[in-house]
Amino acid sequence: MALFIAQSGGPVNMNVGQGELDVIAISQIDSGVGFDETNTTDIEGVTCIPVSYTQNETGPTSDRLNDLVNEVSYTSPPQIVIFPVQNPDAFTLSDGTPLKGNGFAFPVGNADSPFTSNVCTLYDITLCGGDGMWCDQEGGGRVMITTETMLYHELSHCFHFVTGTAAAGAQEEVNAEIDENDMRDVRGIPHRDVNSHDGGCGGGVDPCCIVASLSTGSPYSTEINRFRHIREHSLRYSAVGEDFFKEFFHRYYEFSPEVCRLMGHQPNLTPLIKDKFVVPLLAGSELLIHYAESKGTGFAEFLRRQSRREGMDRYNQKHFLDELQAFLKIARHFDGKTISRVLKAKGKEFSGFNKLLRHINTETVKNEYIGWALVSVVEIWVESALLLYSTKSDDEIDFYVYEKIVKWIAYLPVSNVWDNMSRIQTEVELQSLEDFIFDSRSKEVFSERLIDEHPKYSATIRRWAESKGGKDA
Amino acid sequence: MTVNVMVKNPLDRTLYAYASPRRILYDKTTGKLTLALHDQHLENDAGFIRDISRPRVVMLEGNTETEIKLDLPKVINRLRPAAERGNGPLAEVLPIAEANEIQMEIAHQDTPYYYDPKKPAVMQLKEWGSAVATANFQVEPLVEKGTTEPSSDEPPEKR
Repeated sequence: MALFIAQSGGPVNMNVGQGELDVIAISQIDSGVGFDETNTTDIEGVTCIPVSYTQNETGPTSDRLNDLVNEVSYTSPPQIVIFPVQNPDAFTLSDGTPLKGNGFAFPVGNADSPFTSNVCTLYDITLCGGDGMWCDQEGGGRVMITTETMLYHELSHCFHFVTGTAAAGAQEEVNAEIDENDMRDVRGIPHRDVNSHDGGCGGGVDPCCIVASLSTGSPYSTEINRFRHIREHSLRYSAVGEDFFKEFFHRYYEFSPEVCRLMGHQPNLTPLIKDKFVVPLLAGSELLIHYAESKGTGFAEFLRRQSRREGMDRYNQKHFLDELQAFLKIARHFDGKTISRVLKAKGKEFSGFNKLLRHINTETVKNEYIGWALVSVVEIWVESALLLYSTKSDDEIDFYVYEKIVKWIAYLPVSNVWDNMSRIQTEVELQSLEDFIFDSRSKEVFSERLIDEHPKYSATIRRWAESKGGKDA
Repeated sequence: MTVNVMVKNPLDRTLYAYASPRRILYDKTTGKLTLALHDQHLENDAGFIRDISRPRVVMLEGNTETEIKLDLPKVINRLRPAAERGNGPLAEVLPIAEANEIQMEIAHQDTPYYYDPKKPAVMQLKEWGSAVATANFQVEPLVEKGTTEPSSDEPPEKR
């Protein structure tokens, strides 16, 4: 036998029953699993229950358990000891880190390990004291962590330790998550995203993000994860994209909590913000993604398809779009007095909206990130959706929408991140922008702005601007 | 036991702060309890696998005081490394409810934490929470109404 469940170790009792249940789940409820509680073994001063396994079931998790218990792929020692920690609030590693919400796996010889010559894993069997735990789901969103998926994940690390197959750096985590997905298949739980190692306790709700808060129940409730995925896996994969989101988040979270406070004080604001800001913003984001994915074609058809989406018809009514366009104009261009005067006639339903428009007005005037990434995106969508009510042909609509987007792209905020780049890095970043969204005309305008602020590599930037490629290739 | 801390944000904008202990240290000799609401102690490569959860984060509204409430056990079991314990008990018992001084260390930032799949989680948490506010509090025995000394029959409660 090479796999054990720790029963106790001095003052700490383990939840042996939960550990056994998790091992049984890994075996796929195979009757060949056994725990000999009357024949415990002392492993470096810790009383341990040996796990036995005569494999009847087939599948990767049963195979792995067989490998671990019957030493198919390695020879013990080292033994592998599982610590199913019952009270993770009151249990810390030697450096003081509480076990709550965490899983740990120690190889032989690690200075923090409780063992000298054996491998062990400790995991929180309460899943954050009953609050539940999550990780990122394959394809977007979040998915729960269960005790057996957590144990299987940690045992994957242990298996790699004892077989000498632990990968270097982040790849080891990827390998354990690939293994974990085998256990998820057994339990019928969606896969986790093996390229994300994020996770936490409870529901994991973003703090006071208006878009996340109000998208639930909107026509875009299922799209949010796709947008997040694009943000995390495409846009932030360049230094400029990363810096943009850093700056944007800094501004957004100056702006967003105030909107949340306004909603808290005046509940009638919530549906207004959802209708007049969140849904149009998400519709605009979808339009921009269409632009990036379609090389800037087929906008009229896309907008029609979008308007036919369930729940979107009222957002595409002409009177709604006209009113939204008027509000955007007011928010962007007028002062507080004008906003109050215009809204006075709208009645109780719009009470509080005045404060909101004034807040947007203040933020957009003082910050180009909020203006460019939020307000302009809504403006582009409203103006584009209104074109469907014009007498323009589809080709003309495509042309006008394309023009709006190209002009918008060219005004991507330019930050100091460009200052710290070498010439090669500058080339790589420009190429990355081009691959994602820039066409020749947005390149031309953007390059002039970039050279004005960061003239160090002006020749490189000009060469990029003059080269063919991008969305109009 | 419960530790309540009032945190003042003197700025006009909302801040975000850790609200769960990420490291609990107790010095039995001095009675000092350190509650680290940050991850600055974590090594980027500790030589073992640390599948670590995100911290709980609270919003600290601008120009207001926010209470951070920590529910803690009275006793912590600290895992003892092999070199320290030999074949002795697995854990060292730390009676943190007997602390006479608490040091609070709270990491904060002006944007919420956003995970970046390109970077190791530990590195990101350390970067995000690099600003740490520290304050020390003396814990006094709770004196019952009408008396000047704590009851001698039972160990005094702390406040």
